[in-house]
Amino acid sequence: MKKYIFAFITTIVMFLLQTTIFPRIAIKDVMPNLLLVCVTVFGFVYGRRLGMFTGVLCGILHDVMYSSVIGLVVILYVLIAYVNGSVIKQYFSKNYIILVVTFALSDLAFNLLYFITRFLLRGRIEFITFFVQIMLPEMIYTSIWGLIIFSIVSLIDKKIYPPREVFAKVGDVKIKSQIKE
Amino acid sequence: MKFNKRNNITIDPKYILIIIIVICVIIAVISFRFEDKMTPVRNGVTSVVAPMQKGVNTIGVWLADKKDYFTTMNKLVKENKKLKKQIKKVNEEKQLLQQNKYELKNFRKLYDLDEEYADYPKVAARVISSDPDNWFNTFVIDKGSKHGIKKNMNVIAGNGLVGRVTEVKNSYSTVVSIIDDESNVSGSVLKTKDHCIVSGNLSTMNQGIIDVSGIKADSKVKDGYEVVTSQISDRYLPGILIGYVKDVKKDSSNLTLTGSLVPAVDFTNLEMVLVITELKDSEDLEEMLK
Repeated sequence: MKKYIFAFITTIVMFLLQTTIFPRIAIKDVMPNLLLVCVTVFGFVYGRRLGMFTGVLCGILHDVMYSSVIGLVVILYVLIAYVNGSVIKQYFSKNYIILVVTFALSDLAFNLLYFITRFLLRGRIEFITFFVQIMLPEMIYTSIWGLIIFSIVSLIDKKIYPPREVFAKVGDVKIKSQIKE
Repeated sequence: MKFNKRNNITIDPKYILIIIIVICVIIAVISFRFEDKMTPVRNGVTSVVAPMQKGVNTIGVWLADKKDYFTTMNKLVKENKKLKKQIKKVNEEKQLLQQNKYELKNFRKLYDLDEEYADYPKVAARVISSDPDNWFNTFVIDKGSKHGIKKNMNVIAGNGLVGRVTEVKNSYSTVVSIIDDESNVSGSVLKTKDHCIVSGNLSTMNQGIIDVSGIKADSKVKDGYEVVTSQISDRYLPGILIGYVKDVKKDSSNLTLTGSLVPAVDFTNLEMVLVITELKDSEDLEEMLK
């Protein structure tokens, strides 16, 4: 239960930052996708369930306030959280290179799907331009901010769940059930 | 399904995923077909989140100011010199224009014309948050139906068009700007009276330009000509400045001219906007068309 509250608060904070402060300090009109970072981090720190919970929350906030169709971004975020949650079972370590790759790939996947659903279907086919102008820089910013936010989240996680082994030995079914407590 | 220690039934995440996706697809279809049904939901979420955004936004504005302070010092000094020169010029022109305006008023009276473009009633609003992704250009302002805002009202800043209101909640509303990739405005070139279509373009947006298309091929449009909203637009009031034409070329069909348009409004750091609380009355137009 504690981790759900933790995820909820973090998501709200990230959403506020993303919609108010980051657009104003965006570099060349591109800003990192903090909501995606949230979804990814909670996906692989606490598993698929909490990842999907965060995904639904982020998606609903995004769609209800800024999008004409409710549900599209929710699906994208939930899918990303699910994949991250299940892949990390096998690969998770404190290896920062893997983390960066995960953030970059998640961001790329999100933007590709978003591009296909919102732009390609409307007949905007300048993929290369959009890739160079938006997807690539966003990928880099998101990876950097992802590392920062990941460190903060894992610090707070240490405070909430003191035994560290729970975190390191993910992959073993018995220990996984301990995480849920 | 499997059972954990406490014998509670837990559902496999796989099924949760499928359930969420199915629900989302249903909601998407509902929100697409029946937009009104979702208004209470949107209203609820916005009324909780927007006040928080309003607070955090002040920090954002402050940060943006600081960023500008460090990056644009040299530019400002140059600009200042240039502007001072311009002010002199403009002052002279202004006096001439004022004389002309006085004359025009009299002529208008003679011709029984109303002062069409003069003063629309306006409400000032603060921009409190923008779209969280990099693909679209919508933002939320802190005025809503409580303050008399309605859907499709025009939003301006300075003297240029910013966009139009697309969704109205109690005390907040969402605005889609004209540089948004999905936005189209029908405009007309002020000097040549040519009709044209101004559409947002994400790929050229960070150079500060958007697209203008559909100008007649025999038109004498030149760079720097003003484009204003056209009379025949059904959502935008006539005569609002959109921007200035740039690089007009014949397009591949050879029938029309296409080019770029430099918007009159600087969209990078919008803080305050004005909402025109008058809707375009397209009933007359519809009757005429019938």
